[in-house]
Amino acid sequence: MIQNFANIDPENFAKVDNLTYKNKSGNEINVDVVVKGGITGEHMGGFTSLAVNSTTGNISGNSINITISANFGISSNVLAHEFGHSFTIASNPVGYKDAFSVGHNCQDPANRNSFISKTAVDWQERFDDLRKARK
Amino acid sequence: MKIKFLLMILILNFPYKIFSQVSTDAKSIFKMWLFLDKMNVYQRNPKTTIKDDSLFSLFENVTDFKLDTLQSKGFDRIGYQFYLLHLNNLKILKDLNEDEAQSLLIFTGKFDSVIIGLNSKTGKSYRLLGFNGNDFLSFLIDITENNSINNEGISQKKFFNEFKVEKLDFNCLNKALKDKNLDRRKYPCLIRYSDPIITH
Repeated sequence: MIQNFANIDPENFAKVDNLTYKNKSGNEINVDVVVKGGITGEHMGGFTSLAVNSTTGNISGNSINITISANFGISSNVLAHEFGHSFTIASNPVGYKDAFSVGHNCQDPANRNSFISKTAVDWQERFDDLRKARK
Repeated sequence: MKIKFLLMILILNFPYKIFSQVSTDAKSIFKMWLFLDKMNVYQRNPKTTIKDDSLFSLFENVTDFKLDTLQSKGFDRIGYQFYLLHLNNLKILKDLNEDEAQSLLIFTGKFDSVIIGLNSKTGKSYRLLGFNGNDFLSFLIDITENNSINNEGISQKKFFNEFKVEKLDFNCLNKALKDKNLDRRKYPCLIRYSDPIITH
């Protein structure tokens, strides 16, 4: 699935592959986006998870973790969506944490342009468009 | 003669000094629990980090916070106090390099509250909210087995009816910790600060 994403959207793949964030001291830190298959339960096809220290703005383990359901095919746009979340998180980890609320639904049109959803849905739609253009 | 006199003073004062210092400092207890509760974090290029007393000493020296004392009912007569800490308000007293940050910082999801109950007489402490572990059952046993009010023991029924602490739901904790599934969605009192933010 990762390779499929890289083939279809190499530009955004490069962004995720070289992701960094700045903590509150202004230090630029590499962050790994770790993708694994697993049970996603009520989180539909996939989810992105992280923990942050609000005082310093550091991300736990300098790692953003993505879990993708094994039931989704490699051409699914779920990974594109979750990579979009990772990009938003790295842009402002504490802001992301503060903006997040339990039960947030990116697919709700009311959330389309929210800080949490916007890039994720943009990346998901871009992936869909690029995939269609290749056919 | 002077040496003997000095020794006598030291000997006479020694036990007094030990026992006069028996008290329980809630902030220190919190730091110990937070340090023990903190999981090791995977690092990309880790330097050797050992979770030992040196690391604890560093953790103790770089963190500072204010505790909120919680309102309670029934506990003042048996010497218990309850303290709340918001981890997002934890101060870091020095700039940390990346290795130190990963080893020493407390990382949270959306929930950032931890509560500890403290028995000022025995010095025992109990994690009652927000930590990775929860000591409610040993807290309940200690209260019902080792305390009395007006020479009357404290039954579990009396405890659940008459003992309250703001922000704690003892009935929820009791049911949750006896439920083999430990379902955190069914029992919100099991929420942990380490539960990550999850978006989908």
